[in-house]
Amino acid sequence: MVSTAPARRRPRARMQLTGLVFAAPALALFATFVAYPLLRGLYLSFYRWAGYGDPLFVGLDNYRGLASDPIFRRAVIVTAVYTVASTVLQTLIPMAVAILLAQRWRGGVVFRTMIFIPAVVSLTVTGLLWQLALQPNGGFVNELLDSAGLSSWSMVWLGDRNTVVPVIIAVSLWQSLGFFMLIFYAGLQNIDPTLYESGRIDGAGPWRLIRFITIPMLKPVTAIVVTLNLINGLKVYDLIYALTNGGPANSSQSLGTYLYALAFGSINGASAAFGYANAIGVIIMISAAAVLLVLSVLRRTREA
Amino acid sequence: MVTHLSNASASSPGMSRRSLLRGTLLGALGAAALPSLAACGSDGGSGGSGSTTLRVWHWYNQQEAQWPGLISEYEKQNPGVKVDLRLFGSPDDYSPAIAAAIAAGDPPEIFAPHFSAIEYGQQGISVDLKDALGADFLSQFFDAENEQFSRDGKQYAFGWMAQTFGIFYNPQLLDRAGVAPPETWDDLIASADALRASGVMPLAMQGSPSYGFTDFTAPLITQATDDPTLVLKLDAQEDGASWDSEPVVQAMQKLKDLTDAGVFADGLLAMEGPMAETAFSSGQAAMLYGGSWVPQDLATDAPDFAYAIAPTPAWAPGAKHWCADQAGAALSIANGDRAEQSVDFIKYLFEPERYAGVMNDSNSMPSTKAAADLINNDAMKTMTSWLLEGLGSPHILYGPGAESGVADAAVSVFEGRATPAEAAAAVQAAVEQAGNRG
Amino acid sequence: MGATTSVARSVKAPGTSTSERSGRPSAPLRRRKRRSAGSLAARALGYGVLSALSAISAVPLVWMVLTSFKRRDEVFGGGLLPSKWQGSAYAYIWQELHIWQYFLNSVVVTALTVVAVVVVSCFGGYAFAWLDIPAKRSLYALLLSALLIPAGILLIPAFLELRSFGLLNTRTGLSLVYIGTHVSFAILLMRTFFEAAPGELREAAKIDGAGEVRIFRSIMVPLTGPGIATVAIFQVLTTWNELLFANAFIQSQDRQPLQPGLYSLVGQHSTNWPALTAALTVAVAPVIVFYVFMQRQFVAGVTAGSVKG
Repeated sequence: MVSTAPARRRPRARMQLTGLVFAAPALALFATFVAYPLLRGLYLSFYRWAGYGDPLFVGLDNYRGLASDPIFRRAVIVTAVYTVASTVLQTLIPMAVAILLAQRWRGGVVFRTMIFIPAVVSLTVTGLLWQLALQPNGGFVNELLDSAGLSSWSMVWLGDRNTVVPVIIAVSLWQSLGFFMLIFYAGLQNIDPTLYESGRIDGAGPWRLIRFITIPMLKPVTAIVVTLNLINGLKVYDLIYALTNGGPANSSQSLGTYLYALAFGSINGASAAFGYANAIGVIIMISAAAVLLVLSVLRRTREA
Repeated sequence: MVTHLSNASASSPGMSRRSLLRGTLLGALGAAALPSLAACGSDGGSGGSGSTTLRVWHWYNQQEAQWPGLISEYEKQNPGVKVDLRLFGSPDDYSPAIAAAIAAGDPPEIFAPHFSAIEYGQQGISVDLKDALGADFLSQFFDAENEQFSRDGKQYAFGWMAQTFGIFYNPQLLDRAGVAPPETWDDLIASADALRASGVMPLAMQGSPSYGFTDFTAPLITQATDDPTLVLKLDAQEDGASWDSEPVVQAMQKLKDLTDAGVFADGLLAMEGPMAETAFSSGQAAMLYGGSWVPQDLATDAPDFAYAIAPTPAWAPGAKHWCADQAGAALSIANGDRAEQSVDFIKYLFEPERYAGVMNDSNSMPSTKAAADLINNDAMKTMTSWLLEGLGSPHILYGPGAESGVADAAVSVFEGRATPAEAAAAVQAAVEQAGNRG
Repeated sequence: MGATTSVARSVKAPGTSTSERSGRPSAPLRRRKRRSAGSLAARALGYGVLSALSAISAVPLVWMVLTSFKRRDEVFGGGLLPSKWQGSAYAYIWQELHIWQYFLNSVVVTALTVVAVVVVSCFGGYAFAWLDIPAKRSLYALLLSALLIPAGILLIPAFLELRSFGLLNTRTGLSLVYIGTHVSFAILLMRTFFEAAPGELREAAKIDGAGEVRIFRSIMVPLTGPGIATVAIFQVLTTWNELLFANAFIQSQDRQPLQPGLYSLVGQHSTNWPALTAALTVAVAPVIVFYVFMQRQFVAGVTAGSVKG
C-alpha cells in the first residue's frame, strides 16, 4: 500500500480551506437570515417606531424607560424564576427518565413514544389545552382533585398571582420532558458498554454505575440541555402568551411576552412600540450571552 | 466502541436503512423544491392585466358562513375583480401579520385597523372615508362609531358590527333565588347573598385576559358622571382629564363594593370569555356580563338554553344604563390605486337589504341604524335597541398604556391589593409611564 | 476530552473482552441472574413510574382526539366521551377549511427545511468538531448567538428582507428563514455527536491516506446516525409547529401552512373546539408517525449484537 504523507504534514491552509468550505453554507445562511435582520433589530432599539413611517432616533431613552418601568421589573423577576426553575427541573427529570428508560422494559418503545408526545404539540397548542384543563370551574384538573377528595387543593391556578408562575413552570415541564429525554437517551446510546462491563466486574451495583459512569459520560449532553433550557427560559414567550397572556394584570409577564405585547399586542394602545420592544430583546440577548459566557468559563475551569 | 467498528466495515442492515431514509428525504426534497421554486416571486395585489385583486383581512368570523356567498356574488357582478378574503381567528394571529404587511408598505386593500385606525389614517396608510365613501354613506352608521374613528374632521374607519354590553340572565335561577333582574348595581349587590345561598354564582364575566375588566370599568366611569365624553378625554389625556380623579375613584369603589358583596364568579381572573359563557349556560352562574357576540355563541354552543337580556345595571334608580358600545369590528380602506375598487365593494356590502340580511342570518349586531331596525333576532333586537336609544358609552381605550393600566388597576382592586384611590392613581401613573415608551 | 481517552482504553479487538476475562458467556448485561424481591419491587416501581408519566403525557391529547368527535355544545361539561361520535368536524375542516392544502404546504416547507438543515449541519458540525477553520472559536460563538434571539425581534426585519428578495409569500422564502435560524442549533447538536465519535478512527483513516471528504462521508457520518436522527426529529417538530413567521410571511391562504390555518379556528370570543381539535389531530398524527419511524433508526444504529449500557 502506498502511504501518502501523514496528516500532520499537509499544508495547514488546505485543511482550513476544507473546514471553511464545510462551514460556509451554515455561515452564509446565518449571515443572511439571522445576522442581517438581527442588526436591524438592534438598530431599532435606539429609535421610536410604531411599525410604519420613519423611525425617530431617541438614543438611550428606551433603555432608560425600561429602568423605571414596573412591568419590566416584574418581567425580569418572572423570567429569572422561570429560567432557573425550568432549567433545574427540565434537566434533572428528563435525565432520570432517560436513564430509567434505557434499562430494558417490556414495551419500552411505547413508553418512549407516549412520554415524547407532548413535545410534538406546539407550545401554543399546549397553552390552549392546559388553559382549558386549568379552568377553575369545570376544568379537568380541579374536577380531578374534587373527585379525589382533594377539593381544598383546587385553586384558581392561572388567575392567582401566587400560583400562576409555578403552574406555568409545571406545564412547561409537561411539554418538554419528552424532548430533553430524547436528547439524553440519544446520548446514552453513545456510551461505550464496555465501561459498564468493567464497572460491573469491579463489583459496582446499578446506582454506582449510574453515578460514576452514566452521569459523567453524559456531561456533554447535559451541558447542551442546560444551555438550551437557560436560553429558552430567558426567551420564553409562546407558552406564557397562550396560557395567560401575561396576566392576571401583568403578573406572569416575561421579558419575551412583554416584548411581544409591545410590538404586536395592544398594551401600548394605538401605536406599537417597536423600539422599546427591541430594547427588551437586546436585554434578553445580552443576558443570554452573559449566561453562556459564565457557563463556558465554568466548564473550562472544571476541565482545567 | 466495539459495535461501531463492525458497523463501519460491513454493510449491516443499519447502514442500508439509513441510506434508504436519506434517499427518501432527498427524493422528497426534489419533489418539494420544484413546485415551490416555481411559485417564487409572486405577491398579492393586482393579477394579470385587466384583473384586480382585493385582499380583505380581518378576524370577524361571525359571518364566516355568509362571506363566500357575498364574495361570489360580487365577483359575478364584476368580472375581472377577485376578492381574496383572509379570515384570521382573532387579533392574536392577526396583529403580527398586519404589522408586517404595513411595515412593508403593502397593506391589504381592506383591513381591520384594530386599535390603530386613527394612526394609520394620519400616516396616510388608510384613506379618509369622508372623501372615499362620502358623508351620506357614513351617516347611516351610529354616531358613536363614526366619532370613534374620527380626528380633525377626517374619518379613517367605519364599523362593520356595532357592539353593546349587557347582563344576560337565567330567569329560572333568578326565580329560584327569589331575585329580580337587577336594575341598579345596588340591586345586584343585594341579590348576591340569596343567589349564592341557592347554590349559584351571581355574575360571570371575562376576567382573562385582563382587558375584560376594562370593558366592565370604563362604562362605570361614564355612569358615575353621566358624561360619555369623559372616558374619551381620559383616553386622549385631553382637557386636563386625569385618571387620578373622582369619577375614576368612584368607579373603582363600585367595583370594590361588587367584589366585597361576592357578586363575581369564583376564579374570575382565570375565566376566559368562552368559559364565562359556559359557566352561564351550564347553570353555574345566574348572570353573565357580556357583549353582543354572546347570543350567536350561545346559539351554537348551547342551543337549548333559555335566557333573557337586561341592560347594564345603572348607577342609581332611574339613571341611564350606559351600556358599553362602540364599533366592535371596524374596517379601513388602504391608500392606493385599488382604493376605488374597495369603495365599490364596500358600497355593495352595505346595500341595505344585503347588509341587513347578512347580519340577521348570522345573528350579528349591525352597525347601521337601518339594519338595526330590520333585526328579527330577539336577543339582538334588545341589545340593538339600546344603541337606538342612545344608551351607549365608550369602552375601548386607545391611548398608550390606557387599556392595560385600567385593567391592572381594576384587578388590583378586585384582589384587594389596592384601594380605589390608589388604583385610580395607578392608572394615571401607568399611562404616563407608557408615554415614555417608543 | 475525557470521553475519548477512557474509550480508547477500553477498545479491544471485537469479541475478546467479556468471554475471555470472566469465562462466562457474554449475556446482555442487564439480565440479572438472581431475581431478588428488592429488584422485583424496583422493576414494579419502574413500570409504575413510566406508566404514570405516560398517562400524564397522553391525557390532554386523548381529550383532544375525543373532543374532535363531539358536538359543539357538548365540548364542556358533556362528559369525557362523545354522546354520539360525529365525523362532522373532520368533514368541516376538509371541505370548508381546505386543511389538506395547509397540510401539503407544511409538508413541503418541512421537507425542504429538514433536509437542508441536516445536510448543512452535518458539514458544519463536522467542520467545527474536527476541522480547522480560521477564527474557529469566534465563528462558532457567532453562530450560537442565533440561539439567543427572541423571534419577535426578527419578524419584521426578516419580512422586509424576504420582500426585497422577492421571496415573500413563498414557501421557499419561509423555508430559508427557518433554515437560517435553526442551523445553529443543529450544528450544536451535530458537533457534539461528532466529538463523541472516537478520534482514532479518523486518525486511522488519515494514515490510510483518505481525503477529508472521504473520511467525512464513509466514516464520520455513519457513526452519527443517532445525531442525524435527533436533528431531523427536532427540526421536523420545530418547523411543523412554527406559527409566528408562517403567519406573517405567507399571505395567501392557498400557500398557508398548517399552524396559521389552525389558528384561524381559535376565535376571539368563541372557538369551534371540535373543528380545532380535529385539525390538531390531523396536524399531530404525522409527526408522531415520523417520530416512531426515526426512533428505530437511531436505535438501529446501535444494534447488530451490541451489549447495551
